Amino acid sequence: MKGSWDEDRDPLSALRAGDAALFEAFVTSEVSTFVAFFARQGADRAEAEDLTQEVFLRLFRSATNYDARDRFSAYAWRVARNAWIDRKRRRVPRGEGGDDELPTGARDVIDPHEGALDGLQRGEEAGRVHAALAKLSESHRLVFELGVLQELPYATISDLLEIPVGTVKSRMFHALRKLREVLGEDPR
Amino acid sequence: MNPDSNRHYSDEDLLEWALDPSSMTPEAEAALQADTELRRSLESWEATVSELRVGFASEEQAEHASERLADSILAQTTREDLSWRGDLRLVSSFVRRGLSRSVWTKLVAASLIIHISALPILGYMLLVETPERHFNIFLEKPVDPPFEENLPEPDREVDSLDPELGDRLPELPGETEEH
Repeated sequence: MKGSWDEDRDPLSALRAGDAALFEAFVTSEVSTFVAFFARQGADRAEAEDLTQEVFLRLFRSATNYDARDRFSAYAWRVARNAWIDRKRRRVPRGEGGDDELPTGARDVIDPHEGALDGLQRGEEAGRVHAALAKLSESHRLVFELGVLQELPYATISDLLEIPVGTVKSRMFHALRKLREVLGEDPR
Repeated sequence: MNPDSNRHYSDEDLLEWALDPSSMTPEAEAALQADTELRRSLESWEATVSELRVGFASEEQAEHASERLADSILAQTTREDLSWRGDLRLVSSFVRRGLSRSVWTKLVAASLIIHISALPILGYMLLVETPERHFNIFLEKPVDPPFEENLPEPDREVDSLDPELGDRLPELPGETEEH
């Protein structure tokens, strides 16, 4: 996430106390984080936006029963992960190789308003990392997302995914080794 | 002797340190100071992590629809409009989401729109346009004259006129013949 939303900046605790400003700041700041997360997991553009909206609505509705014992960021990621799992259950299977397909969100990351060369370079870079990420299994991709991109500690990832810390450590290592191999093979 | 001093650190440990330096124990830090090879390995993992983070950060910056999406989320949460406009907005966003999810829903909606649009045209055709002229020919059952059945039978011969009555009838000029 782009900002820190734990402890005294917990949006849901603030919301329970009657202050909506932090929640609004959280939404404004982190929308693109969640859209990118779902796109990296394999959602297309519209689906990633839909899921992001669902995550924020679920968070908002859970404010009344929210218990601030956990870190808010971990809680938010758990909600996002559950939304993704629910969506996958509802999805029509796309074929046997679904897990290894290029995440379709990679096709939509070029901003039409930026310069043509900037857009091309940015699109190439995003496409390159997306292609590398697509070679990971889903479980490795999720651990990589939470540990490397969201910078969550192993203990939090372990709690969030309900797997032992040793498994998180092992999956992370294999995910990064694979990514390093793939990106190293890239002719660029 | 420190039990960690001779410990072999795996690549998995190094990666964990690269991701989260606070996870490094003092013994691990000491081992890094002493072992150049170990330090190089850690730096290599740090470079990989950094490269990946930069690569994906460029992707997140490319998000251009986030402002619109954030507005839409806020409109349904903290800034929810409780008037009929808000209801309308919720319904329209529900419809939009439904349409974007399925091709079949789009087809059904398009068909519905076409049918609803055609209704006024159909109504015009039925109500305003002159119906085609046509002729019906039918034969009515002939009506019997009422006196045939209901007239009382004469009680005497009708062809024998009362001679007195004949005398009283006025004579019309030209109608009397001399026999």
